[in-house]
Amino acid sequence: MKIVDMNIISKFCAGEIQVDFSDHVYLTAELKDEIEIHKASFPGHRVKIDRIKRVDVESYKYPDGECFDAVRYLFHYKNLINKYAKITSFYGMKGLGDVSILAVVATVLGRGNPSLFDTQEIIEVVTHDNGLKKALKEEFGDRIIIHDPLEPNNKTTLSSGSTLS
Amino acid sequence: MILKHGTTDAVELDYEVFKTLLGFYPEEKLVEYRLFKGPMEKGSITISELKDASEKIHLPWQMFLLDKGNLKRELQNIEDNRLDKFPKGALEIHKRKGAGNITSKRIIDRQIRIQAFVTSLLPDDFNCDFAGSLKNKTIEQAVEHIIEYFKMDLNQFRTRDDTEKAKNYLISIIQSKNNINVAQGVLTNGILPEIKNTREIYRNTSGFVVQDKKLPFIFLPSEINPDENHYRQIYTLLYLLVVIGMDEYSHAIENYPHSVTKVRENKKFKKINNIVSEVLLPSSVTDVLDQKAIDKDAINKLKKDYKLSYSAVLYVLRTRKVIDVDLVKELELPKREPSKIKEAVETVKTFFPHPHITTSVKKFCGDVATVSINTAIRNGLYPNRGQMIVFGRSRKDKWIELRSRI
Repeated sequence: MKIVDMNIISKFCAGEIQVDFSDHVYLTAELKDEIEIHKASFPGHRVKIDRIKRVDVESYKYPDGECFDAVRYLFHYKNLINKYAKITSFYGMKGLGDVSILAVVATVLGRGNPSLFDTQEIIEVVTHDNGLKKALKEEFGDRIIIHDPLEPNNKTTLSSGSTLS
Repeated sequence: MILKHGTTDAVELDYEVFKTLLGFYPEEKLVEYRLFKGPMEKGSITISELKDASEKIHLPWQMFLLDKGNLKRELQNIEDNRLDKFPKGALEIHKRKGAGNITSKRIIDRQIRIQAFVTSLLPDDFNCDFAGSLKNKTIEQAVEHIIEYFKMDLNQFRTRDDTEKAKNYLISIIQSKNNINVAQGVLTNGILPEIKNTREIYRNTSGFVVQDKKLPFIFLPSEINPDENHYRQIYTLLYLLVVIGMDEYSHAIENYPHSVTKVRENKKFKKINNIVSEVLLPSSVTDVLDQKAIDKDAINKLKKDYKLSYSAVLYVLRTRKVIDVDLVKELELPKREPSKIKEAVETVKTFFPHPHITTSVKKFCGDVATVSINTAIRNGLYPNRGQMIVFGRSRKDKWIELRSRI
């Protein structure tokens, strides 16, 4: 499962970075809105965005065919928005997209039992946001791949030892 | 309070959080709003109901998910911002006689947010040199300074047949130095919540000043208050300008002199009104008037020529002792009941049937702020932040429309 932060899509569209978009990219409602607005704001970026295979996170299916658990997503969203309340801002509407990414990862990894992570699913989050990267590391350690194309050493090691660039 | 996804319980939310958040603008009585009332009585709400209801009252749905401590911190930040901008008590004292209730804190918060954004883009040494410039000046000196500073052509102002055009002339020249912003209330394009309770509140909103060293904001109720005709708005505009000039923010919320038979005691308040009256209707005009020649026609002629409301003309003549209390009582118009909000909405619909989003935004944000926001949008302002600044909430469709015109 690949999740891409908005800052990466903006930079990709502006030609500042190269990102592999051959896989489907899963979007939370917040990110979906941001992309729609970006498309409308920068008509020149539409073609590039439309080439990205975007899928609503709610339509995600696990390898075994089970559907994304939107109920559990809300449970995690509520806990995470409170846990990271100091880095989100309602005044500036900052950080809410980050919380939605954290909640998706928690939902997908925590299938079945919130305290036991299911490691069968490989989740890759592509972001250049240091706050989000830090939170992802704190929450999920090396159970996921965090990929920052703008970091000189952007290859993040999986717990199994495999790497993705 | 259970948050549901469809029919399935997802997570428990704090009932007290709902009550606190819906009570944050107590004058709006949002706790009684039907889309919240039912779920709160029932003890559960679905995520789609929560999103829909929050959208209607212009509060982010995610705020309802906060726990008590986090919500308190968020709301405290907003209250701290208010306290920075208004002296203690200034927000509480003002009541519009007849209409009741207090100036909308939501509108105040929205204006503070716009101001904070715009001033953050200004250089550190940017300074509104009009602010405080009327301190220690006599009424005559203050009037002279205002006219010179803004290059106010009073003949041009007075000879406009249309009072709205006269008002717009003043709004335009006050903003001409880009160091004072004039924002106005709007009832269109969902800039403010469009539910019954809030409409009732907005129409009681007075003009006010959001103080700032760099860019003070004047807010005129304009179309949100059906009782605020153009004559009255002209007076309010100048009143608030003088508040900035005198650095007298304890009067930052305009308190229009409703009763012309009672001259107010407060010296600062009197001085502000005297300066405004002198700009609009110079003493040289009223000094030569004889009480015997003052009748309703004479008042109406002064009203038309000098762009003051009928009651304001009476007030000025009374304070300058041109007429006595008995004549004031004789000439006073019967007190009008505040208009029904439905009439106001209909009036707005008649005169502004479908204003473009850019028109509504420009009016609500003010000319100076709009230029600044538009530049920021062109330079890639983060859309979520932009929507909060302009609309006070997520508003994807309108943002796209607005963005396409810039």
